[in-house]
Amino acid sequence: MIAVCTDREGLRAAALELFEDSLHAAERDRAETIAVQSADPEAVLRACRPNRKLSPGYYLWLNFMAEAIERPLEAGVTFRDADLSADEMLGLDVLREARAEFRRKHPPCGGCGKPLPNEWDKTCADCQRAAAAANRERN
Amino acid sequence: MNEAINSLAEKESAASAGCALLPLDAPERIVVFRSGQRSYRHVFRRICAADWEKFFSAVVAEFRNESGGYSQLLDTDCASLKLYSLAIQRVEGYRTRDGVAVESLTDWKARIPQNHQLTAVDLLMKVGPTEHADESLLESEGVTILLDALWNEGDDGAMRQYRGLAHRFASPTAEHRRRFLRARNRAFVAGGSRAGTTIIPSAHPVLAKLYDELVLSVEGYSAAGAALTSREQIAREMDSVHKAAAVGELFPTALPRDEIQKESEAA
Repeated sequence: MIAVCTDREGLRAAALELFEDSLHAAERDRAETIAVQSADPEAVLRACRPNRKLSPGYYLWLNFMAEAIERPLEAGVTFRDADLSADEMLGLDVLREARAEFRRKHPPCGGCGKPLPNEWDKTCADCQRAAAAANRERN
Repeated sequence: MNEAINSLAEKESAASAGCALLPLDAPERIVVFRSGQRSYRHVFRRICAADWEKFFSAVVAEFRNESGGYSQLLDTDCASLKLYSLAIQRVEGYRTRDGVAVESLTDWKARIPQNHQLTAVDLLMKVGPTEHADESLLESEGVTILLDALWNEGDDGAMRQYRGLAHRFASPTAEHRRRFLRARNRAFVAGGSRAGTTIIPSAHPVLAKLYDELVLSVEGYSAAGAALTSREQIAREMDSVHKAAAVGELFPTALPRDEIQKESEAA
């Protein structure tokens, strides 16, 4: 039996998945709009649902970490050492590492700041299109 | 079958409109329901906090990764049957072939139909937020949670419904909320991190503790024939299921677990 909150490797893999999923949030929103008008909305929604590789408990714990600890910290709430348990400290560490890895793999777009699909990209497709349109207008 | 039983049992007693207090320390908990043309009474002893603790620790909540989403299993049946066996004292409405008392049969508790046992325990736990509460009344401090509950038998032989049972709490802090969420999201995985089954242990001990720490006063309940007055008395006498229901309402949130449930329902 694995205690999810102490499984650093499992949490790290799940956190990376969650960050990667966030890249496709806009696509999923679009798919949900399409699903409403499709003949089989459930099939469309199923197809665009994130493919989770780990047992659900990892995502539950990470969502708790993000909602109840990381977000308040970012908002300026301070926790004393005694307030946080060792496994919560580990969870924060995992989120920090996973976020750093995600940012390395998906650096921000030079134009709009959105995470890019690849680490070698400089600007996103939207910004490239906007730049091309601006060039056409100038010429 | 159970739904048919429940719908009949939930008929409100005529006395529900009155302002009688819910007697927490009644020596017996009585559940009544009708099934088919017959009515049944199940008489339990008072169910104490330790009994409910055993119940909640025996509830199995699991999530499994399956193609296309999660499947969720919430099994309360084993826990309900254990509680029934632990606390039932006698039943009425059942007959034996040779006319002897049901309770004189060997292993009589196990002879009660299981769906009746489950219905009886389900009715013991009937408590939830008050429907159509007056939301226009604002508190100057703290938070008030209103619950409706079925408890024992009314004069007309149906279960008695108590409405607007008030639990007034001190305003919870971020730390209280964190403890609540932590308890609800603690998980263990059996069978490997990838294909394994997530097991959610009972959050009930934390909910009960939060209740005891935050409650200021209650209305609508009694012990020893009088309304509850002190916080210590409330913590000691209040039914554990009511504590859990009130604390659950105190921290409204779209929990990730709820999201997962939505996914599993959709899958």
